[in-house]
Amino acid sequence: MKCPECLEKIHDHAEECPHCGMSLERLHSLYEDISLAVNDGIHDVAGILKLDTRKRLKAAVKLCEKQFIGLNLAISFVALRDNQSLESYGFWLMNHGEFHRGSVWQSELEDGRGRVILLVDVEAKRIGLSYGYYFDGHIKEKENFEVLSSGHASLLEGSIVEGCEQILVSLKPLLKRAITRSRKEVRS
Amino acid sequence: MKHFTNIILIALFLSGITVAQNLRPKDSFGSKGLLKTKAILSELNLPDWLWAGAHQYDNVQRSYRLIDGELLKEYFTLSITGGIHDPQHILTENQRDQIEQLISTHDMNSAMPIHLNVLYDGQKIPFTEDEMRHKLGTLFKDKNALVIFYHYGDARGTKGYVLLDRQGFVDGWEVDELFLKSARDASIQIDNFTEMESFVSDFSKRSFWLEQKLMPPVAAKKRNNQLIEQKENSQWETTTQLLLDHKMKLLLALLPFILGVFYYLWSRRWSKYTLHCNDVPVRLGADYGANVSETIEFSNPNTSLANQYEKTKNKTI
Repeated sequence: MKCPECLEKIHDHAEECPHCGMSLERLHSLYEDISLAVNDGIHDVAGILKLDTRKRLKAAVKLCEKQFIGLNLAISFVALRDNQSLESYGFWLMNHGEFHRGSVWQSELEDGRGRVILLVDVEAKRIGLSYGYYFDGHIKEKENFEVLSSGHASLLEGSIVEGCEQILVSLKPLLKRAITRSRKEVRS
Repeated sequence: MKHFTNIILIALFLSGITVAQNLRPKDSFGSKGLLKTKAILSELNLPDWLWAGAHQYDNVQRSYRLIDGELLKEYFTLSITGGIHDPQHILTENQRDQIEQLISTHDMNSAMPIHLNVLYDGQKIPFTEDEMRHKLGTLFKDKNALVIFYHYGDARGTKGYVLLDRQGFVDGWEVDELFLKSARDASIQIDNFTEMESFVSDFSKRSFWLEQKLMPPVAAKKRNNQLIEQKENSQWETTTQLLLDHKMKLLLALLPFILGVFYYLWSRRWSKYTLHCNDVPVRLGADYGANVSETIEFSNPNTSLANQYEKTKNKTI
């Protein structure tokens, strides 16, 4: 396991990072001004989505979630400041995000440990994925990189929505593999 | 020793020939010999047809063997598309192929397909002429056909019928000539198969003349097209029938494949993946997760993915 702030290795049960002293509490001051409402899997605090593209992405999220029971998928578009990082923001949103399905607030109904959030920093032009605890140790960085790079060409061209759609399509096999590994681990 | 024995044997053989030649009477050589041969032949009571034209010979009395039972049925279950019919397997595979080649060449160019039934010399189908015509009339109803019952080894025993669609059986001197002349020409051959080959070949050539006489060219062409269509239809029907007859086997053969496809689709598209609720350690004060992947940037097209990939190697989220 690694610290989402300094990316150094940390212990499974560490309450704060022994390298940089990071914990969830310490991020509060950094991200408190960011709205945390995630509606139908879309979190657009950067305000880049139009009505039609928002619908398209909602449909893509729904399609991806359809085959998985317990998965809570979201895409977050954000424009971070210099002192903020995509990694720590992903960590923050994963644990403090208010996930809604329609008008129903899901955060207390669903198990948040099955969340997967696609993070897009539209200012720094970076992209990453944040995973809940259920995926601990079952996803390889190499595979994750392949998923993210599937949308790289579209993102470079400025087609952020198309890039995200492509990433969601290639995310499905990755999640299937991760769940299969997790299942095998439980059996053994 | 071996060579010596061979030389002795050759010497004995040559001396034997010399002795035999010397023992022959002097009148067996040259023009005297020819006269002698003629005299011997004149004393023999040979039938006229041996020397005269083929169509002039009388009916020779033969000791027939009748065909009956299942074998007889075999001869009257001809396919409508023509060809050779040899239920007794008189011909070898190779011979059969050669005759089939001749017949198929004929059928391709003619509106009257040949149906060649092969029988042993001396065999007879136990039907009267009327019965025979009734059987064939039923079998080739409204179709053109040149039906031949060929006795292998004796082309002169060949019997045949010409059927012309709605007119039925065609009779007349042209038909007689067609069979008789072909048989006569073929009977010159010594070898049984060569005789048969010659018969089919000659018969095919002569039948074109008859065809021209019986049918105007346009009708013939139309008929030919119909025959091709019929042939294609019958092939399709045969295949369909075969598949229908072996439905269960077919299903069993395809079952693993069908199940494989179904399983593949099920596992890829329709099966549901359930996240396992393992007991996972909670860290950094976070309730739901503390895993964020390496990020990649897309600000600069000159920053290649390969460089960005380096930092992700051999790591697990």
